Amino acid sequence: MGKLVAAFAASHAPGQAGFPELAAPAKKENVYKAWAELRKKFEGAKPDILVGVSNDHLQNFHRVQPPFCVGTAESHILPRQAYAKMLRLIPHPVRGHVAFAESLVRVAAENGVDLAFSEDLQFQDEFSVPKHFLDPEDKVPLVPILTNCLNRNQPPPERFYELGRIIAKAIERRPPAERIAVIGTGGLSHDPTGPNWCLIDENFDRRFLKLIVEGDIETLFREFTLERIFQPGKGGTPEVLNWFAPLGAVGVRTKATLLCYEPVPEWATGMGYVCWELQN
Amino acid sequence: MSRYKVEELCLALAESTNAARFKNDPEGFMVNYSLKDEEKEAIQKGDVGALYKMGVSTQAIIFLSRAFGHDNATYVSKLREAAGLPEVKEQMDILRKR
Repeated sequence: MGKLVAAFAASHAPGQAGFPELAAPAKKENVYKAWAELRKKFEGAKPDILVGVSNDHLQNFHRVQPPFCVGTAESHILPRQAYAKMLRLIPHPVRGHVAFAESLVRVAAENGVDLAFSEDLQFQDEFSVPKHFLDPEDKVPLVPILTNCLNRNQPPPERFYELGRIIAKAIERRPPAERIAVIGTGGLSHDPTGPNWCLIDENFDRRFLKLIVEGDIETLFREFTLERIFQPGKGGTPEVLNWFAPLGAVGVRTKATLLCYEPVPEWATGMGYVCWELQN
Repeated sequence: MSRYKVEELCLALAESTNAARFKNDPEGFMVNYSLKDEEKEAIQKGDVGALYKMGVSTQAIIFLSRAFGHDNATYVSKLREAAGLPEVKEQMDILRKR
């Protein structure tokens, strides 16, 4: 069996890479410290593959909208050219992992979950920003899973949690020496392009983080329905759905640590970073 | 309404060449989208508030706003007015700086 060796959830907001100087210095430092800690844990876990769960921003899907789509290409360009200037990141190829990606699609189907897949996906901040901070030299291949958080008919949190359980099953089917890390990215409260752009709902964020860290999945499902998740702003807050995936992958009894929460209006986002403590 | 078609049109405006074509000949640009009269009127006027009230995704409306040269503060102000929300000074101050 392969082994899940690291699991994280983190905000992917573009400001932390593209315009860090706009944030209050102390907040920026706290965010960067959180990333440094995540990077240390990531590197210490020595993963062979990073599975990322994050949302399309309508750059790939509008005419057709899958709930979840696995990137099965040998290589992904991070970020796409249109986002290079905003993110201050140079578009470059990042290795994929075809064997794991395709295995994930098959294992999911065997377990009653139908995943779309594509070798032709475009990426912006959703994976480029976290990869930049976690693995700036791109030593670890990425298997991206793009989710529907921002279009209509989003899957509810229970489906994202199930996606995480499916990722764990796919990991079990991998060769014994293979080490896999999982990250869910997005959120927390934000509404870019919407009427609450640059407004942050700290109560929402802190309550969500508390329940995620406690692994209180019953209360999470009961309180953080799609209707509740939409309230701080549909333009971005539904990205917190991606956080249910690493929780599903590790299981609710796994201890988690909140590394940082900072509301950063200049980045238009409540910024959160969580690490699950796994035995390596 | 054809929310999907309106969104497709707005998303197309993310490409600068399409935005230029639209500004040059909005009627011609809209021909292939099979839009209703009220949708065409809102798009031709850059009425982001009307489109928001129609339920069009703001992920798409933003590109129409940019084609009309609205800055982010003006755009959000129009959305909030359409939504019946009061202006928040701190929000406007941040949006004007970005």
